[in-house]
Amino acid sequence: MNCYNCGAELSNSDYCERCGADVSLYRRLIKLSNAYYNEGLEKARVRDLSGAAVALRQSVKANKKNTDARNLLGLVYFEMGEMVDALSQWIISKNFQSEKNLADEYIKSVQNSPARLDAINTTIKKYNQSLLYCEQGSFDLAVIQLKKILSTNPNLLKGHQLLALLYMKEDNFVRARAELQAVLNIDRTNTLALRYLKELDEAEGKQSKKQQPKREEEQVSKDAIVYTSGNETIIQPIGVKDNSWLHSIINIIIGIGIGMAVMWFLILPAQKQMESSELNDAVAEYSDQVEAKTAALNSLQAEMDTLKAESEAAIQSASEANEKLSSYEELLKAYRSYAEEDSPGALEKLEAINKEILPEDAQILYDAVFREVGAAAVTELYQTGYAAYQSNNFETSIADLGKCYELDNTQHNALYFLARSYHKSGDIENAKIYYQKVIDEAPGTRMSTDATNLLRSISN
Amino acid sequence: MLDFEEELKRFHPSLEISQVEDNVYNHNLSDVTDLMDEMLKEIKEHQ
Repeated sequence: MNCYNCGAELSNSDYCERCGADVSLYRRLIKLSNAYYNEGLEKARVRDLSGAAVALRQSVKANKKNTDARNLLGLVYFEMGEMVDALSQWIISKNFQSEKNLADEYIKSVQNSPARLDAINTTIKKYNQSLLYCEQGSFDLAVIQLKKILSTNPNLLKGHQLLALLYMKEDNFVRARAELQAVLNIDRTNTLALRYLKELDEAEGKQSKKQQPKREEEQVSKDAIVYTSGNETIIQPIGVKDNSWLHSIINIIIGIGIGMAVMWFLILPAQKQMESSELNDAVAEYSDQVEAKTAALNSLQAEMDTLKAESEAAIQSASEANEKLSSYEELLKAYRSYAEEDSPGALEKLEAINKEILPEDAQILYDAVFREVGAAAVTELYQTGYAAYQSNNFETSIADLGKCYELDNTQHNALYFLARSYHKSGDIENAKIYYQKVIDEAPGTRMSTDATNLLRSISN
Repeated sequence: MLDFEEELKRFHPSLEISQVEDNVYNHNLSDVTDLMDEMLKEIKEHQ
């Protein structure tokens, strides 16, 4: 033991031999600290961690340099899942005794397992998150989070305590009891856990019993065995045959049945409806396409008709133009023949002209030429026709006289001799026609009388 | 029966590993010997 004032080695005297300080009280404090340490050690040995922590805190309060007490306190904190407090105690301990200190080994063991340290740190963060969930009223999330935490760090007492509290809030007493039991398995005199257990007993209507630490898989009654596995409390009735496999098979069969029913009543109709809908859509689409193509076809047909009509009109127009041009040419030729005093030639050319298509000026020219040429031509045709008749050349006489009458239908002589030419040539039918014309057009004339007689004679 | 809200107030967020250093610095390390030493010094000063 060293003097608290000068650090000199103390003898059995109550005063320091070097500085003369009164060390009697100091000696008592050292003894008190050691006594607390011994008490803490005894409690820690029987897993009374809460009691041990109290005693060891008193020990280091009496003598802060009691490194054994501080190291043990750190160890107790570590066992309770309080890693930060444990490390703090070990670091302080190492500060007071840098050599031959157990804290060194503890710190190194933690530092040599960074993965484990990281996992513990994560559980601390999640625990804080769970508390936040509780404050926000998200108790379900808090429970889920705490279960994860405790699966990683099962020694975190406050995690078990908070989870038990949440289970108690939900009136899930079995699970709450299991969590509290887990606390007591680590710390047998944990005050909070014992208080919660007492509340549980009262809530369940049981008589308060002094809770004894239980081993896992302990039989609690004659009818059932209750044991904990991790965070779960399992109650297994005695004498009941374990036929879970049968239940599993039944459940699977029921599941398959439900699945088939869902497929039959929901999925298949929906699929059929979807296919039908797709088919209808396709039909509607095709109908639209057909209608569009029909409309396009009609439009093209109408366009084609229009073009055809235009083409025909153009052809007709071209034909008329050609005809008109031809008529012009013939008119010019006729005029030229007329100028050369070739009346029959001029007349022949005039006959080839379609007067209707000629413009008004051309028609005036046509009429003028025709007037001059026509009279001479009629006379000439009559003369040649009559001469042919007299020489019994009926073919020529019929042609010339017919043309003569055609040019001038007042030429009754030409008509009469035309009828005679037919008669003499043996064409009785035409002879009858032209005799009748003579009778009709030249009534009261000699020719009419002769025609009447001749017609009667050939009719008989 | 327990008052859940009141019980919940007993639970506080834990320090993370990164806060060990701060925890050590903020730790009150004075013990009874320190108190006694201070008291003896004060007594001497008064005498």
